[in-house]
Amino acid sequence: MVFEYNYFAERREAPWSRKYNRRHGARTPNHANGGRRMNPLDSITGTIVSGLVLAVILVFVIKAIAGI
Amino acid sequence: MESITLLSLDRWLHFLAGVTWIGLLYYFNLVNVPAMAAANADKGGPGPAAIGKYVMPRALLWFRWAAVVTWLSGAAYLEAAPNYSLLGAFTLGFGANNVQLTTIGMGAWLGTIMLFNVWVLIWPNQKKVLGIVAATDDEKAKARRVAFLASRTNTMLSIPMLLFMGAAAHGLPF
Repeated sequence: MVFEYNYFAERREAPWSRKYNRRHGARTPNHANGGRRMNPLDSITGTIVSGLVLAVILVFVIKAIAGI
Repeated sequence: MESITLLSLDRWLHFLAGVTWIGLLYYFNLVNVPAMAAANADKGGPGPAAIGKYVMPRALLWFRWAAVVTWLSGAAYLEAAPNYSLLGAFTLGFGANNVQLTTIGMGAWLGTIMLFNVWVLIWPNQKKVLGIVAATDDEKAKARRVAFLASRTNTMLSIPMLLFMGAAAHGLPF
């Protein structure tokens, strides 16, 4: 028996992905998917970490622009 | 009065208005949002209506006008200070090889984006949430989310903004 790969099978999307929600007609914000929060700004910790990461990146941008 | 004294007073005003603005921003994010959630969840409690009626309009009044005063006093300082220029700051000191100018310019851009968020995203949407302008329940839900994300974005941007405002005079951390 020869194994045949089904090239036409629909790719399975994770049920918390926005693509899964679009295919299944559920227009829900991603923070509502089973409590999985995908936007770091939904939490204070995520907001602070994002701000710190942005600060480090922008320091390098400043140094590049100022030529130091 | 000497111009240097006026410059110092302008800088002082910038600090005072900035503390009022960012202090209220942190109040909204660290205190008000979790307090509203707790009040909504507490079914036997007094509920969040009093916060929306008596606290938020006053807090938002000081918040949005402090943002304007902060920006205007900062722009005036950049134009008048001998080691800066408004145009140089907003062009990030390109070609000037002046790290102070680039640093204060980056802070000024972040502050300007934050001012935009206050007046274009937070305040118009909060007016719908608080019932100052008429809106359906769906419009209120959407407005609440937009205002929340804009407020959180400003909190995130305030972290590098404050670093660069201080670093322009005192040096970058690394």
